[in-house]
Amino acid sequence: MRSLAHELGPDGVRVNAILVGAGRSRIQDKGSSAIPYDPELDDAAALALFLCSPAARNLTGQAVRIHGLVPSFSVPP
Amino acid sequence: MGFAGGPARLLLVSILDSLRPARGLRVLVTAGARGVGAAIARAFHLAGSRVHVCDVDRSALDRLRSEVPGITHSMADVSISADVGSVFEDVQGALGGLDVLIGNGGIAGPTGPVETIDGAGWERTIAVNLHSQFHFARRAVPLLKGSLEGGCMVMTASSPGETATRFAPPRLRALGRSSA
Repeated sequence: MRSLAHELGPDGVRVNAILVGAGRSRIQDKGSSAIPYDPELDDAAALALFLCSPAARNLTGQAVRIHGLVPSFSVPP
Repeated sequence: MGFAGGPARLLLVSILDSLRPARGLRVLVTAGARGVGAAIARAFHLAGSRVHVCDVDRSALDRLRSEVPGITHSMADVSISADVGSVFEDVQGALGGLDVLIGNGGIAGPTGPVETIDGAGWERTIAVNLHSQFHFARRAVPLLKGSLEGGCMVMTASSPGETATRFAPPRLRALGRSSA
């Protein structure tokens, strides 16, 4: 994804990824969830619309997590 | 100039407008007949885009067609290069080009201790989740480069998918990163 973003950027093509939640309950069991809402399909749809909007014209090579987890962060026991 | 002045107000309106995709975008959603893919396809349709979906599930495609008649579709197995070729023939016919590719095709695949995973399940997972991204990207890129709106590719992946690529050898993870 990042190499494509790099390759296609000069042609005005942007490349991004949406990491949707799946198996959220298993992840929650580990205690690392920061947001109390269950992910919904429309969360991904809304982000897809934004990523393809003029407002995101400088946004490329990003993998955006929308499963409510803070990346690389563990809650102390 | 100020927070409540005329120019600032105009700027705010244009910022809000810029949060919507341009009307009439030509959008292809892979595995778009149900789940996340269908939600994305419906959202673009509501935003005034022209949407084509492909999926391997015929009955799900029929359901989507009856619910949202404006969305065109192809039946295809995203892991098969020839099927993907047919999808792009349909896209050319229905949309006449492409501004957005939503690469949503994917399966969960087998999980468990490595010695319990059978080879066929592994190969199928790699074909659907990884090879498909290549089959679509190589055909979509020339069209996206021609987009007057600025082409856009969006891949979706699940958290287990992310975990699976971490579990896999570093070489595979690098490949997934570069193409997916």
